[in-house]
Amino acid sequence: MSWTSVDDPQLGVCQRADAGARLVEPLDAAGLAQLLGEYRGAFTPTVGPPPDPGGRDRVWVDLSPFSGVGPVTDGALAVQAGGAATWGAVEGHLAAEGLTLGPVPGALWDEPLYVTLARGARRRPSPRFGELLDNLLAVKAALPGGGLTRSAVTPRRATGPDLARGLLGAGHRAGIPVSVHLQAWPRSPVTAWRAVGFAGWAEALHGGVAALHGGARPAWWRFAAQGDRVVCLAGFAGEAGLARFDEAMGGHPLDPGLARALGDEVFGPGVAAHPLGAAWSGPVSEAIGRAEVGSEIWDLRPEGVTVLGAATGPDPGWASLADAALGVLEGGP
Amino acid sequence: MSALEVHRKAILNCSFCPKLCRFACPVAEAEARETVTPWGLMVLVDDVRRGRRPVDSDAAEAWAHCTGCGRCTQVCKHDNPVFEVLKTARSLAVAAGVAPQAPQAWSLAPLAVAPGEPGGPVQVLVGRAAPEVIADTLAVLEAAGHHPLGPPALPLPPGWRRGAEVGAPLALPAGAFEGAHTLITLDAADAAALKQHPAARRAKVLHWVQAVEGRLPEPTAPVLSGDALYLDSCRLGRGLGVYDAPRRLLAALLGGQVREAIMHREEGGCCGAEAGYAALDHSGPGRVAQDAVADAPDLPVVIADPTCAAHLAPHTGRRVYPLARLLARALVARAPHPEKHLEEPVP
Amino acid sequence: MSTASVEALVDGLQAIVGPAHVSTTPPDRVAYARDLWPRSQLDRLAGEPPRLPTAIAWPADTAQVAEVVALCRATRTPIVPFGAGSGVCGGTLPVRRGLVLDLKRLRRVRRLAAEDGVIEVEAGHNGERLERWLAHRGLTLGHFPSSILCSTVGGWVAARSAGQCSSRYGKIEDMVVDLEVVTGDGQVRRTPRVDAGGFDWNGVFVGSEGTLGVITSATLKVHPEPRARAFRGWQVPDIQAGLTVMRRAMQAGLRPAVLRLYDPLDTLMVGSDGDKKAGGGPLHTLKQGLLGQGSGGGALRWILSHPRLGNGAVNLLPAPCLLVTVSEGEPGEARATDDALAAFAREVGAKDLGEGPGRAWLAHRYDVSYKQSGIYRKGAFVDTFEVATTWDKVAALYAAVREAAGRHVLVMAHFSHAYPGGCSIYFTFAGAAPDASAMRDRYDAAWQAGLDTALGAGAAIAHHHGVGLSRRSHMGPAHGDARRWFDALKATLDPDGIMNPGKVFGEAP
Ligand SMILES: Cc1cc2nc3c(=O)[nH]c(=O)nc-3n(C[C@H](O)[C@H](O)[C@H](O)COP(=O)(O)OP(=O)(O)OC[C@H]3O[C@@H](n4cnc5c(N)ncnc54)[C@H](O)[C@@H]3O)c2cc1C
Ligand code: SF4
Ligand code: SF4
Repeated sequence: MSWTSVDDPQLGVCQRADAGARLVEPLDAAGLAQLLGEYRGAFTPTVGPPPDPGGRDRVWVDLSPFSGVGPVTDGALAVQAGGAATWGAVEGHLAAEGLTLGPVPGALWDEPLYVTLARGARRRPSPRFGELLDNLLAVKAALPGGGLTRSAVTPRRATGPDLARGLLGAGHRAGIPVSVHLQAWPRSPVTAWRAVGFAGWAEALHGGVAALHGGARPAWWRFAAQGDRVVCLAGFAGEAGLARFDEAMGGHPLDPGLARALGDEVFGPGVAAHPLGAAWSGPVSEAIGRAEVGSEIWDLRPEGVTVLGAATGPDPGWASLADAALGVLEGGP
Repeated sequence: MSALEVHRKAILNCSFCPKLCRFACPVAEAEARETVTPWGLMVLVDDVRRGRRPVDSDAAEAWAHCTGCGRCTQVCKHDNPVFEVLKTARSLAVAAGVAPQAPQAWSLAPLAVAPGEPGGPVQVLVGRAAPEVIADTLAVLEAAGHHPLGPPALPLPPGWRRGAEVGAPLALPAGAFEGAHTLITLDAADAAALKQHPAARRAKVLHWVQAVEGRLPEPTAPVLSGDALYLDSCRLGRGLGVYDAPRRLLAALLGGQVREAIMHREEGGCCGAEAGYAALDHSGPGRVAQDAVADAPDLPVVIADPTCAAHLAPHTGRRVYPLARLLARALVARAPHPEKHLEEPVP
Repeated sequence: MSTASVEALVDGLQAIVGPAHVSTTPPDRVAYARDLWPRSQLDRLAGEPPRLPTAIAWPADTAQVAEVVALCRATRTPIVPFGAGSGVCGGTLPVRRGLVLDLKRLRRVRRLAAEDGVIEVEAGHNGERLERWLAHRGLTLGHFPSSILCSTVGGWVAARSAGQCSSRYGKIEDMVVDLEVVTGDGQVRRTPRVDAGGFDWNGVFVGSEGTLGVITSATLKVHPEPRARAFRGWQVPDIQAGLTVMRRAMQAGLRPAVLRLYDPLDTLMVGSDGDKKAGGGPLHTLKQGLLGQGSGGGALRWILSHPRLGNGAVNLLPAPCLLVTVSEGEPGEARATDDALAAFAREVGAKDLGEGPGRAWLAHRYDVSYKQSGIYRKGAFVDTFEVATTWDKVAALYAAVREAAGRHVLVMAHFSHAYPGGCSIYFTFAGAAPDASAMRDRYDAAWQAGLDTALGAGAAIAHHHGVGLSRRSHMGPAHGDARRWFDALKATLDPDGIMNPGKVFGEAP
């Protein structure tokens, strides 16, 4: 029997469905897969009751059963978390074990993992701990049209196209992550702070790239225009090339207290929201032209930077291809 | 035992090898074709050896795609003598009457010799160089104190050296170089072949660069004002081990620096001219030439062997100078604007 | 394909790429009938005729590739993209015949923007030549697969390649900024940079092994060439101790260029093993044989035909192993990394063997592949089998694969490509049997055992050699319903199913 109407759910796989089955809570991953396999209409994942239930044409799938965090694999420091767990919950769990994900942008703190994956947010300003997605070791997802993906927990995707990454940035249409493994790290507190002033964006960004090439790996850093100068604030944890940063960065040193104050915020909840996704990304040389007074540079890398606030939308050609592929997926096996 | 069985180990080395010299083979790189990698050529030989395919015109055509530059052997940790094996394979194709015609015809072109006193003690084999280059080289040799120059006592039969490279060896009559104590060649390939040849056993065989090095007067002014790209010809470099002498000679002629290709000296490639390859009706030999000069797109190119220069110039459209021409110009350095003399294309 | 349709195809191809760049000659078809999958080599030795492609074409640029794809769509001709055929999984075998599309004429460097840390290079560019071109300009990609001499940029991207220095520079997927692709529908597309967010199309094409489209160029990250290198060899008490050093180094955020731990047999083979000596006897013979030395090969064949005995003898080898480290970058970083590695090594009781092993490794980094010829020449076979898993499982997986595959072949391994979460195990399988057909059976049995064991252990069934045909059987179990994602992408990007059919996941069920 297939679940064609919201009034006719396969309640056997749910622990809860409200009147009219507009909000269903699957029992487990298999139950979710079965729900998605049988229900072919539009659905929206949520954790707990939706803020605004909307009309009858909409079904909410409550992912609360996938909010757990743990265990952490010995040695590999791979933490398992349900897709509905928040970054803050994961980091909290790890902190108790002397581990960390590295800096979690404040804006993500209360966001469930599945939402971040659906947005395809992948960067964070941490040369030391790498991109968020470098730290994604495995994802298991329930697919629209039914079925569960499987993936070995492995440091790098090894065979075929990266199907787990198909989930990224595709909204929840590509599937709902029920279980995620993330790389955790030994917690090494930030022990040194640096604030460096530059006459302009070109000097600041070139200094940053030179520092990276020199082997500096700040645990976090950011570049922002302040008045007529550009300031780089950076925090270092463990052996991360502080000396090389000082050698290669150029600019003129400012009071490290500036960086320290910001660093305390970066490592916890409550730092100013960061609009990941609403940003322009491109090569350093172009970024220099785009970054203006008031700009902020996120995650400087030698081959590209993200300038906050200057969003470019998705490429329409690719967006329609993604749409077509998702349509096939939603059509079921 | 078939002629190929002698090379069994070499053939198997290549056919079981993961194409480790593919990046180095100038023909494989220029043609972008697996069949003409040393691996591909040798697998084809192996298929013949195992009786799995006949020696037919298809196989023979493929085997013609090798300049004998020796770069594969130089890279190979087995020192695998690919060209030696191919020469055997080519001879099977010649024997079976399926070898491509053009390389055969190329091999039969007569080898010219310099005019002079018959049976002289120093003889110069000028190969098939253009008359101006022959004249230049003879002038340079003369200036280096090599005289009198004389031709061999006997005319050399056509194809005596290049025949072997395309699989059709022709014997040089015994006594061909009777009376000569020094044989000087314009092309290093001729020197290499002579060194192997019983007829030249008693003589000292030199490439002309070896014969003039250290014996010429210092030029009074640069012949080329800027930098120039020096290319090792594979037969002179890898074949005879002569790398420094031509560079020293050239350095003295330049206002600028001797510049190098990314792969040079022992690692130098090939211009595509030799072993009958250039005679094929195929775009490969031209592309090999273009690759050879690609690392320095704006510089004039200098090479010591006239055969290489003659192949490079038309295929690359670049200014290509046989080293002997520049040296000869230095000897007559009377011109106020020396480069003007060199603007005419090289034959 | 009927003769008439082959002729029509060839005419069409000639009109696009020029008559000189299409071939149907037997030597070309034979040369393009396989890659370097050892199974094909065994087929050849067994005298099995290869499945030949219908034709081979060499396009000169992206526009020609697009036209060829359109022609093949119209004629429903399968296309096998071909780099340099160095793949070791059968990825380029024309299992449905059709057209082999050799990309090596696309070999231009389109753009070098050193100040932006990127190079755009066409797919057919040979790896070694590219690295030399960059070195000439003081740059490096940092991508050094052992096949760099004989592989292409497009093949790296398509097969998800890893270089010897991946612990510092990443795998190829970590290097791709964007790709130009001619998808199976004939469209030329450039993948969007994924910096800010959104759908990761690079992640879709990397590893797609020609099943979704033809990669025509790649924008890759470049780095300044390292100004300093620090080399070190360590004799670690045992494998576990060596793995601990690797793990702690990566979790401390170090980025050594090379972290390479050899198991006892591989340590013996490498030979820079401090005071360990093979002496005479069977192990010595084995070493000589595997190194391709010594004449005949009877002893080698005997040992490899009795793998249980051989592996049993290996169990008697002393436990200490060789760990090679190379730290590079600016002098300060190279030194600091080397010092930190040394501290971790000393904590596990490792003995410092000095610079020698690291320098020897660098000087001979590609030489091991030459051994292959000697082994086959002597009537035996050799292959490599790489998997990856998390640190907690590495030692157990190593033991399990040795046990399972060791019934069929002699097994040795090294551990490399280290990450904070785990590493890859690179097994070498060597075997022999009385005839070519029995060799194939032995070969197949070893692979089956290896793949089953990796799958059962929850490990990744490969690390960087890709899927091709050799791992296809285990893709379904390894990925579950994720294959539906693949099918959806395939249906969208390659609506007629012409792109490298039968590869990666095989045909849709
Ligand atoms: C001796 C040896 C050592 C090796 N060492 C390593 C190593 O250290 N690391 C490593 O990662 N691999 C290694 N390999 C495996 C192999 O070299 C790699 O898989 C390499 O990436 C293949 O490149 P190629 O250009 O030869 O591709 P090919 O073998 O020609 O093709 C590989 C696959 O990619 C597809 N393909 C090729 N080019 C394109 C394109 N432009 N567009 C779309 N699809 C394409 C093909 O259809 C095929 O499926 C080794 C192989 C050998 C023989
Ligand atoms: S010459 Fe050497 S490197 Fe080249 S294919 Fe033969 S064995 Fe391999
Ligand atoms: S001799 Fe030169 S042209 Fe011939 S196969 Fe070797 S490298 Fe290629």
